[in-house]
Amino acid sequence: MRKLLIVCLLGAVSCAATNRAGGLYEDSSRSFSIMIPQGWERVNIEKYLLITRDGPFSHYILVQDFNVDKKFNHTYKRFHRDMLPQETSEVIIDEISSDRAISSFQLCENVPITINTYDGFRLVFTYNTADGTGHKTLYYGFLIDDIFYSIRYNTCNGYNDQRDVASFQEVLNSFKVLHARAM
Amino acid sequence: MQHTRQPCRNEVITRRAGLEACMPCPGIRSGWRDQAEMDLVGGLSSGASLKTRWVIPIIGAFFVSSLTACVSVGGLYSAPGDTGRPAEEWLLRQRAEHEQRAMEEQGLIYEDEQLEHYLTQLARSLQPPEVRKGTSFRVKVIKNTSADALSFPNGALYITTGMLARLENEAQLAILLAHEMTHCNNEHALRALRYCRETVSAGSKLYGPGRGGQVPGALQWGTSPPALEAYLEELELDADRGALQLVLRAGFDATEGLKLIECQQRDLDKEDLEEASRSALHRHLEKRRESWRMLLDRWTQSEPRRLADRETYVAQVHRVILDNALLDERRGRFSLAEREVENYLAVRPNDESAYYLLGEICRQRGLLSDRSKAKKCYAKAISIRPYYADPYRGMGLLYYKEGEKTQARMSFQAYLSHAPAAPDKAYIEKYLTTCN
Repeated sequence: MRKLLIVCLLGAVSCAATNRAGGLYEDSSRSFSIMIPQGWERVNIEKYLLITRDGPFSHYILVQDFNVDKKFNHTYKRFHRDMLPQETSEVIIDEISSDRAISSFQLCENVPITINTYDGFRLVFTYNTADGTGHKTLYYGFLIDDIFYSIRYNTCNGYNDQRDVASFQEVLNSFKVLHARAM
Repeated sequence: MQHTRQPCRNEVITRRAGLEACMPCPGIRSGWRDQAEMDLVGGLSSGASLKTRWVIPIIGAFFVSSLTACVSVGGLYSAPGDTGRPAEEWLLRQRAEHEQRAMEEQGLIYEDEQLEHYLTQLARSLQPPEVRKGTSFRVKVIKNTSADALSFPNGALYITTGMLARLENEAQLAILLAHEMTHCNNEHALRALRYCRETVSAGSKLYGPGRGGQVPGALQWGTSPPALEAYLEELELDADRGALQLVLRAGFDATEGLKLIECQQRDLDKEDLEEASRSALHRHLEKRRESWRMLLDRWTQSEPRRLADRETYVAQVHRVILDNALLDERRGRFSLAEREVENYLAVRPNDESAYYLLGEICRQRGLLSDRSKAKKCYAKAISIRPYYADPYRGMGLLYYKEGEKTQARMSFQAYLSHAPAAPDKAYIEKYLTTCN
């Protein structure tokens, strides 16, 4: 009986924490929609949308909307509404490279790109976290009016799954800005 | 150390997956990094700097680990081959060497032999000959935009680039060094350790009810046990008294000490601090300012023999001022960076990289009123070195955003002609397409 109770509790906790959710994602608290690839699950984190197939310690796709007036964690720089994609990318680079929790930050690429009709940038960078984990990130970002949107794909410790290329592209292509909202 | 609550599952995911490392999500763990970094730095901090906010945490972090070891050993003992030395002192020195090695391995040291030599010589010139043989002082610089200084019991002194950039003259630098040296000369580290040890063994006197005998996790101005804060404040005032004597003997203008403290008070409001810590630091600095003023009244100084002019000082530290301005610019502390570059330009008026940096600060600040200043700075940098590519890029971005396509195109073309392999070539080519 006790074992059954524990199993039930564990089941309840895992259900609450993640959602198997292939298909369209729209949430009233977010100003965007995306298509979640089949087989990927959503991890409930309030500040951003995080989806993964094999677990966030291996890989994840993270989508976030961020008001230009908000402060960053590590840099005092701020977004301005008239910033060019290159300028917003530089703010993001400074934010990441100023983070004292990471080391060996290396920027491999910073190029302009169009993300489903939106002018933005793509960064490719690597870094290590304090526990020694190596990360590689593809970071897409663009600014529309008051909101900065970022879509990133991150892998940990050399995780490599070719299926992810198509999945991430699916997310990028399906990304839509729904409405500007006060965040 | 400070935050002991258990993280929720999502926080664990966030941390382990390295998410917070690149999150524009304020508040995930603000405060943890700073604490960890300063724990790493270790040592006994300057009371004569903004670093004062870390005096207690550092002493806490630094001594507590030693203290634990002391308690477990139980009393005094001698290190191998070092008969008769008290255990605390031996442990402190071991710990100091460990922390210093860690700083070097982490790449936190600002490498400039000439600067280190200048600082070390200045420190040694302050030390009276009868004490000089006791401790061999040496000074190093840490790459950090905070205005901090640290001393270790083995005579190693550390000053941050941020502190060097904010000092106004050699007299202020001498006062700061003398303050740190007094910490070493008067064995403040050892005294603080013994104080902690006695208080811990005395139970709840220091830590309050329910925490008797426990080692404190983290201590911070405004939130730490009042008895400990008071004791450490007394050590700071003692360091000031010692510093005053050293600088007077060396012939520096001791009134600069007041300006130094007042400068720290002003800068305090620009730092990211919790309100309780900020208030406590303001009170602490006010107390030190008042104490310094009273000491000046008591000690009559003959005409200072050594110059306190800014030019002499900046001539020695000009490179570190510009490098620190660059660090401040990257962190987006534009006002500080601007002030530093302008101070630098006052003594190095023909440095094109300084004009370029000033232009970048004005451009990135994003204010309309800054645009003309930014353009002037870029133009000045180009006039000094016509083949300097970066100012053309900055100029081009400004014109591009203003819709001045012809001028933007000319600037971008000049940029690419001087830097054909520029890392942002793809962006510039895209702008050029639009301009055409």
